Order: sequence, then C-alpha cells, then structure tokens
Amino acid sequence: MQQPIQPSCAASAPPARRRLAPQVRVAQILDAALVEFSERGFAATTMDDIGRRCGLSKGGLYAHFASKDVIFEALLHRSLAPPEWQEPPVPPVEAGTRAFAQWLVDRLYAGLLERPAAVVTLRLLAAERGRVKDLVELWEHNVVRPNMALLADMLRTHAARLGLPQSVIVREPRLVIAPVTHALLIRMILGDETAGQRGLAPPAGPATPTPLAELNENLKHITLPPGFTIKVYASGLPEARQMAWGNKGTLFVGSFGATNVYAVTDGGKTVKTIIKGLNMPTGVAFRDNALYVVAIDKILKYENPEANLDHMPAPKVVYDDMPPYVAHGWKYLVFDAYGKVYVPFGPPFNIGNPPSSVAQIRRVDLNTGSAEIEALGVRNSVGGDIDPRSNQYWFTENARDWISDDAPSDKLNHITRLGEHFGYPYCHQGDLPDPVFAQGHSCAEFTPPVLNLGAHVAPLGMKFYTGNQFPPEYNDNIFIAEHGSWNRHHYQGGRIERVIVDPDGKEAHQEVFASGWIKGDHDYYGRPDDILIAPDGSILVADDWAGAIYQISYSK
Amino acid sequence: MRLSYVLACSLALTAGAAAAGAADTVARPEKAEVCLACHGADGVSQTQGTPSLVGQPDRFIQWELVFFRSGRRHDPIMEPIASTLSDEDVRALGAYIASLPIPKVPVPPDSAPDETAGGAALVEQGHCAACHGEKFEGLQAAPRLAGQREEYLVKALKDFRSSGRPSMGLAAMNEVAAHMSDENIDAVAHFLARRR
Repeated sequence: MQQPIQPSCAASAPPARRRLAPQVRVAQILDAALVEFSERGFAATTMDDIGRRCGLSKGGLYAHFASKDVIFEALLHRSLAPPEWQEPPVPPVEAGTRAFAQWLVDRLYAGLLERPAAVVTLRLLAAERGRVKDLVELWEHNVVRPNMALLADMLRTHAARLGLPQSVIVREPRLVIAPVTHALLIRMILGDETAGQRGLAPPAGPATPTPLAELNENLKHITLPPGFTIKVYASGLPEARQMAWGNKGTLFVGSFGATNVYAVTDGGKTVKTIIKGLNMPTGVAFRDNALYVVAIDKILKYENPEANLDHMPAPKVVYDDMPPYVAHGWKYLVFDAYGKVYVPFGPPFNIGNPPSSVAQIRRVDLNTGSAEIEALGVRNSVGGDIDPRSNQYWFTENARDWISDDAPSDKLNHITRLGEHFGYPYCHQGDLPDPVFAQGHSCAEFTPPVLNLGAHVAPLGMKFYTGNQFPPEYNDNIFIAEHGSWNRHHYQGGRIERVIVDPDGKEAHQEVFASGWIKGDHDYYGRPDDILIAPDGSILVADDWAGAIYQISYSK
Repeated sequence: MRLSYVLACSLALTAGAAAAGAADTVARPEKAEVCLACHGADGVSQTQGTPSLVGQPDRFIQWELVFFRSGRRHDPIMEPIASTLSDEDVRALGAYIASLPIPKVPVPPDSAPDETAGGAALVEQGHCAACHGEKFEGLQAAPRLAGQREEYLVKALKDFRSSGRPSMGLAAMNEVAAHMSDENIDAVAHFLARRR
C-alpha cells in the first residue's frame, strides 16, 4: 500500500521523543524525498533538501542512506510493491453488469487517481526511466503484470457468471483500464492541485470595510486613461456587490456574505443597512417602484422601498424554484425591456456533471413564476447586461480552476438563440476540452465565447455604456469589473476592462480601463465586482474587498 | 443555564488573567477579557466544546466575530457578545488574539493510530493544507487546526456539513464537508488534534 504524501515528515513526528524506530525514520525520509523530487525534479534535489524537509541533519540522513540514488531506488521499490491481495476483492456480480462496471471503475479510480503519491511516483518513473532501467523492469514485473493478470482473471470469472463469456474485455482486459490510464496520463502532464498548486487558496479580504482615509490612499495606485479620475463615492458597505438605482435616486447595493442590503443616498454621503439577515443577497434590481433581491434560493420583492428606507416593508417571495446550493449559488439580476429577469445558476463545485437545476441562465417571469432556460452549459456567471442595440443578453462567465495558471480563459458570452449550450463541463474557452469531463464531446458542439478575457481574471458585473459623459467612442462599449484571481500564482484581473464589440458579437477586443487594485502577487487593495452607470454619465464601481463604491468620471 | 455558564467562565478568568498578561506583544483590549474567560486564559481552551483561540490568525478571528455579529453564525453565547463590538473592537481583538504566544502542549497518547492514519489520508485528499497551511498553522482567514480540541473539530465539520456555519474561501468548507461521513469527520479531527 502506498502512503499519501506527508507535507513534511517533521510534522508527523511526535514532539517529545526524537529517537524513532529506524523503519519509521526511513518511511519519513522517503515521504520527504517524494515531495522534494516531485517539486524540484530528481536532478535538482539535494540531500540537504531532503534532510531539511525531515528535520534531519546531514549526518542523520546519511546514517540511513548513502546517496540520493539509493533513496530514489528505495522510494520506487516501496511504491512498486506487488499487489498485497491474498484473495482478489469480490465485486457485486449479482447486481448486474452496470454495478460491476461501476465497482471496477471506483476501485481503479481510488487506487490510482485519488492517491497523489501514486501519480507522483509514476511521473517520476517516466521522467527518470533512463536512470533506473532495472526499476522500470521491476515495475513491469511486480506491478503491471500481476495486476493485469488479476484483472483478467476477475473479468473472466465474472463475465462468465454474467453470461458474457465472449465479451471483448475478456480478450483485452487492458481496454477496461484504458480510461483510467488516460485520466492518469492527463493528470501526470497537467498536474493537480496537490503539488505545484499547493497554497493557492481563495484570499480572504478584510473582515471590516476599509476606512475612508485608507481607501483614498489606495486609490493612488489606480491608473486610468487620460481625462478620467476616480474617487470614493461611498464607504462602509461590508462586502458590497451588485448595485441598482431606485426611481428617486437611491443607490441599492447587495452584499456577498454580510447578509445586508444597503441604501446609499445624498450622493454617497449616507449609507444605511436597510435589510439584514439574508443568505448571500448578492444580486439586486429595481423595477416599477419595487426592489428585487436574490438570496441564493429565492427572489424577494420589496414594494415602494424608497419611501421606507428606515422600515423596509416585509418582502414577498416572487420566485423560489431554485436549488439551495451555496457554492456558486450567489447570483446577479438583470431585467430586460419586457420585464423578465435573467438569473444565473452556477454548479455547486469547480467541475463535474451538474445537477439539472444549475449550470444555466433562466429568464424568469416574476408575475407567473414561469422560466425559460435561456442558456445551458454555463459555469459561474455573476454578471450580465442587456445590449441596448439588440435587446439581447450578454454575460460574463468564470471558467474552472486547477488546470493551470494560464488556462482556461474566463469568457464574455452572448445569447442569440434560446437554449444555447456554452460548453460546461465538456469544453472551456471555446477550444479546450476538459481533461476529465469532455466525455466524448467536442468543442465544435457548443457556442464559443464572444471574447476570451484571460485566465483567472474573474469577470463579474458588467454594463454597456449608455451614459453621455465619456467620449463618444465609449458608447455601447462594455465595462467589465474583474474581481481578480485566487487560483493563480500571480494574480491578474482586479481591474476594469473595456470591451469594444459589434452587436452581433464580431470584432471583439478588450483593453484595460482601470487597474492597480492588485497588491504584489497575492493581495489586493480592493476587488471590483460590479459596474453601474450613474445619471450624470459617470460610472460607479462596487468593491466587496474594501466595502466601498468608487466613482469614475471624465472631463476634457 | 446560559447565565451560569458565563458566570463560571468569568470566574475562571480572574484566576488566569494575570498569568497570560506577561508575554503579550500587543496590548490587551479590555473586551478580550470576556473572550479569555471561556476560551482559556492563555487562549488554550480547557472547556469541552469551546475552541482554543491561541495561534488563530488575525483575519480569521475578525471574520468569525463579524459572522457572529451579523447573525450569520449562530451561538447563544457568542452572538450577544459580538453584537456589542464595533469595527475597531473587531480589529483590535483579531490583532491581540493573533499575538498570543503558542504554548508547547504535548500530544496526548494516540489511542487510535489507525484513525490517525485514515485522517491523514483524508486531509491529504481534501487538500486541507492548501488553505490552512502545510502544518495546519492557519493562514489568512483559514483557522489554525493543529492542536485544536478534537471534539470541537468534529462539531465544526458537522456545522459546515449541514451549512449551519458560513465558510470563507468561496464556501470551501461547506463544499468539502458536504460529502464527509461521521467516521471521516472523526478521523480528520483525531488526526488534526494531534498536529503541533
């Protein structure tokens, strides 16, 4: 049996007594060596590196192993032991062919792909095979052949019991493991989140909103095209998300985890928390003198809110045919010209075959509760807008994580036909089949993006520019708030992009409009998440990291 | 019942407060006394079901206080306490708790080494170290897990599993815990409680 890779053997040592049984110490050295070899490669790893990872002196290490080559051989020997089964495991044959196949895949998957040490060892074996020819032979002899024989034996026995003695898998047992070896090969090449991507985790912003003086200081890092200026419009809105204007000039603002909806009045000077206790009320919209708030699994309607900011009326649930998943369950609301609202539904995980209620965008009639599925195959979308030129819906989409720093790209999409499929989980960025979840689909089956925006830039809120303050070339351009990376070694995004594109989605290109919110490689001054056009033609930018709203204006 | 518990904690405080003060590197905010009354005078909890605070990152403490304050995280004792805190209090408490020196607490004898090994494998599979640090020492808003009370780790994982507690990191903990069995939760807690 292989052991999982230990982060460091020092971490697993008892603190009080340092003298360990030799076999325990050897196991720890090999664990450490596996991590070092997989991170640095065999050639670049030194005995010092291995010793340091174990908390062993050079002398202590050499007491057990004479050289790096000896450690490497011992490591492979340990991993390449023959199967330990005294008797082959017994599958649930009575349950039928499908259950048998499922059982087999689960075992192979758990045995190979869910063991980081197995993947890393095979990667090492492939990379260093010239150095250890006899070990490759040993692997063939000890691991491959006995396991294949065992598999062939099992398949023959059980195929006979299932009444399928002539099955092709009895003649060619390796066909059965082909999908697993394929997945294994992909993982060996692309890697997984256990080695190179260790430590990439979503950053946590400040728990409390950034004080005004600090916000003003932070905005000195922001660069804009000539003629544009940025200032703090409002502060003290924890985790501010989507924004919407009321009839009488109130700015309504949702929040990510703070459970609040805010009302900003007096040109940004007054901020009130008007609703508390909602489950991730990220999306807000205003129409016909009512405020609409989406909170994971329901859309709430508040009548005549601007006359009742101090005592909001009890809401009415106007739509709740929605799953309760929290992960990627935070949403965005966009009304179209006909009074229907576009609502995104993200899958509750990074990648996988989604439940039928998600990975889609619905267009909901809140009067009747009926909904059309406008788009399928959509991962996590938290931004969209109606094109004033065509009345069609455009939306941003966050691509999956853990493939690499530079793939796949996040997208800007455009729905032209009801029920279009945008590729998730089969295909990303229009041309990248998922290494595991393509499942026989090709990218040509799906609607490609209007524009690939970049990997891990996290495009969220977006708006077509319909104001009359910016230079005329900005008319009908799209401003996209990019929240910025977490699943990337050097963050990118954390800025506002300007996209210039024809109404039919042709001739799309983007340029950076406002940038400078990324601090170093892994930190932020702020993270833009939504855009709104103000009545005077300036744009407002919501920032959930700093809990603030900025205003970007133009003057000649 | 609730009141007597708070009283008991307050009494415990008077005994331990002087000892903890000496090594502090950040001035102790007055409101920290309430915390240490229950969570241990040196931040190491001696109370069943109450977590140790020592070694917890500044940002983690701040976020949990904000969660209790907004009612997003539920606890009959913590919610009323947090409701009295200003943003400045929250920042001061985060900085103070994070500054507490981590005492050397010996690992209790391992009654179930198989469970420890199983827990280690699950922790690797779940990529816990990606957010919580290679030694589970806590990073950013991800708490220190090493040496936390075992029964509290079980409670925390079950709370995440039922979505009864909010998770940082894009709901990462709700996602991870959603598919854990009781046995897996026990094993992970058993393993982590023995890290140092």
